[in-house]
Amino acid sequence: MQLDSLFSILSDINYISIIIFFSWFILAIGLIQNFIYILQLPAAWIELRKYSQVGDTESNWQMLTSDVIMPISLIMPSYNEEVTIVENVHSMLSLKYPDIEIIVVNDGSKDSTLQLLIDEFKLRPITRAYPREVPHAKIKQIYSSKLHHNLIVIDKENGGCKADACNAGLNISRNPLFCVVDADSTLEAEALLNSVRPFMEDPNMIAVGGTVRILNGCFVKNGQVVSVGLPKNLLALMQYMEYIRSFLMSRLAWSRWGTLKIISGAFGIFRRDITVEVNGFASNTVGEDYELVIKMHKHMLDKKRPYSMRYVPEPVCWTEAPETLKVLGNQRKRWHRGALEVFFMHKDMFLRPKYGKIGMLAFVSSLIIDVIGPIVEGIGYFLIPILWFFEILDFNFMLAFIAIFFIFGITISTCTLIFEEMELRRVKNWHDLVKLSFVAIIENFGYRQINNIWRIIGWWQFIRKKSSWGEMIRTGSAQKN
Amino acid sequence: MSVSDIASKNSILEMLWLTSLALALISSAIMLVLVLRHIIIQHRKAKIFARKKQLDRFLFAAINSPIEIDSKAIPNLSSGDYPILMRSALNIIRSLNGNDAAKIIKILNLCNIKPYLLLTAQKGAKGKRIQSLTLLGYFSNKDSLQFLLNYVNDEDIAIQISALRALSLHDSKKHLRRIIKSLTNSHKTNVILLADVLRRFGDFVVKDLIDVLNAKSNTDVKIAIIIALGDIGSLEAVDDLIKFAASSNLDIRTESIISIGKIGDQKAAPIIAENLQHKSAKVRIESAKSLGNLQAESTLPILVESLNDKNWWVRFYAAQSIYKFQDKGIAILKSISSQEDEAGLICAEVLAEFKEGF
Repeated sequence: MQLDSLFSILSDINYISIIIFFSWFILAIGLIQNFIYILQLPAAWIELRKYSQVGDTESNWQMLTSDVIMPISLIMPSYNEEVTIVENVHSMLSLKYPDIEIIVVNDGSKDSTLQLLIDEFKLRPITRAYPREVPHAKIKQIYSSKLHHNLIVIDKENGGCKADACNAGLNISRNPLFCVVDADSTLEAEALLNSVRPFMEDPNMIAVGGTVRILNGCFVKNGQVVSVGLPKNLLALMQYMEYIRSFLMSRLAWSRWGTLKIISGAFGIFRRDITVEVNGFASNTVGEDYELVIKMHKHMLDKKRPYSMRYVPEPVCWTEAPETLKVLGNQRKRWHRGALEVFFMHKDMFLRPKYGKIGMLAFVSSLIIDVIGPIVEGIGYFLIPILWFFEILDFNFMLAFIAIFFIFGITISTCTLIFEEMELRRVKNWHDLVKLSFVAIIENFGYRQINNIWRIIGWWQFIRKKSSWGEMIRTGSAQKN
Repeated sequence: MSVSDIASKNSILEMLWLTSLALALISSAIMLVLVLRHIIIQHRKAKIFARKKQLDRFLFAAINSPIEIDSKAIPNLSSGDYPILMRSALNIIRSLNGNDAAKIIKILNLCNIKPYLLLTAQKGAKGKRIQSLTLLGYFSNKDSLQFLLNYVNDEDIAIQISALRALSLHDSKKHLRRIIKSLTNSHKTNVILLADVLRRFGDFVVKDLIDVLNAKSNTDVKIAIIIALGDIGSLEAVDDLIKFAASSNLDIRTESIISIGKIGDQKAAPIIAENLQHKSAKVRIESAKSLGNLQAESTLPILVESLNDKNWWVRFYAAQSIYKFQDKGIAILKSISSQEDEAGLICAEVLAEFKEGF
């Protein structure tokens, strides 16, 4: 009898209405995402114009020649980086910054990373007193260089994640600021000067993020990018455009609104004391850079202490982008896993007025873009065309879906390219600009969709609590001299 | 669903895709215009680069000329040449010594660049304003001096600091006093950058800085002056710094302690030693560091006591300061290093580290 009534209820439900309602829900989510991006555009432009350091070479020169510049420790976590480690350390040693300490953390590499460093930089074992302020795996030996007094190498047991290596570097560092740079990244000569300026201008500054750009296709000489070029590989080219959009629009806008929620792990500068107060980088997430920033917001808001965080568009860190779908896919799945881990780790901040704009705006946008967005969009790519084919949805609906999930992205990408060209002008040749303009169009037809699939897989991995980093294959794909 | 419902939903959907398409087309059109602009700018840049090379060659030849350059030697200049001259002059001045910098300024005077600099300092883009203010600092005549004085209390801190920095290049003692005194009325500034500029004025302004420090000036200005006094290193400032080392404002107290440490006058040792027991870890850390520079033997007992401080950095800098007492200090550290407590551990670590020369 109960089963009969259940079947009766089920047969009364209008499934078509539910599906149509869900289709409208998919459109609504897409529309909200696009609305967030639209709001970000003017905010990003205002922030770019206000804080742009383009043309202000004099201030950098004055900082370079003054005694008041804040000393900084550059922490380079390294795991199996024998292909690029020597060159990248040389590159860091050539940075234009008067008071810098470079700390390379060899995180239990299985290749010859450490031996290459010992041979190249004439390393010798030393004793260095350090506080055990943040947790990490055991340090086996600390080395210093006979050739460069400001180079320190830590050899430690592998901690299973980059966060552990960063924490070891943090404990060893003695400067008020530190910057984590990936071992495969190349910083521009004045990147640190540009990034440290906000700390000197605002005593409440606790974190600054810089721009990460794609190294593929650039010409590198003596560890510095001397000529900027576009990647030849199509996948890397799509990422080039993606990085411009992500850094020049999203992060500038979040910075403008005081809700900067992520500073790239490839290049970020933080106050050492605040990072120690929040117990350093978390080793229970693959999004340790994202988690650190959220944690810092939470900590400062809990303690009701004034603080600021900023994104500065000029300082650039060049990094190698994956050129195969497999490696790129692993990276994106990991990033999305990290985003979800951080969201749920700090879900107590969601819609809490105590956490101000972070809780009320940033977390809401994360919910829509990172949590719900990929799944809803993924379902939409299958459901909407099928419903249209069976005439459950009309052609206008199909067009609206295409507009929201394919066409609108062209506007966003093109607008960020417009910002890039009007303010920063890093793309040197007009034909590269034309190429990027085409990429801004075509990336919405295929690349975006593949990324969405990876994000959905990232969701699945998050649910299954997968924790590995996967493998990044270094190709050294910039041209070298 | 009624016909009007369907119609309104259709019009919303139509509006959505039409708006998206329109935005995409408009942004693409703007991009096309920018590509054309890029081509034009690229072409212009090549011309500007060629002109820059010519002007650089002229400037270097003029500096190295064995005979005095006069207005007849100046090439024909257009308004577009002045931004290039400004940048080139600044680049060259950075690598020259005093006499050659004066030669460059003389040449720029002959080029009649000053009206351009004055206009740019008032109305140019921020980066160019800073450059022109900096360059005006090298012109030692009255009107550029007066012009710079107008920007000392500018609301934009970067402009304010650039004007002050430019003024620090001037030699006129009468005006320096006026500049320092005007800081009393300054409402908003940047501590670190102001301190950097003030130290460039040197010994001569110490008395005036102390006057401003004791007047009712803005806290940020006071802190900047305290930092500058430490960098200048004048013993004349020690008595006042001792007073401020007991301030209720933590930042003023901390910076006073640091500055006393830089100056190194042992008469300040008692107040610093007292601060080694302050509740703020930051004050204790800086006190431990400063005592190492003061090298007053009377402070050894309090430093030894600090080896058991709950904060690692206080313990570390106390041990480091004891080490600076050389044989006596090393002996103390060695005797404590055998203890199985925090003090013993930090002494052992510091001895090992500094023995290796780090």
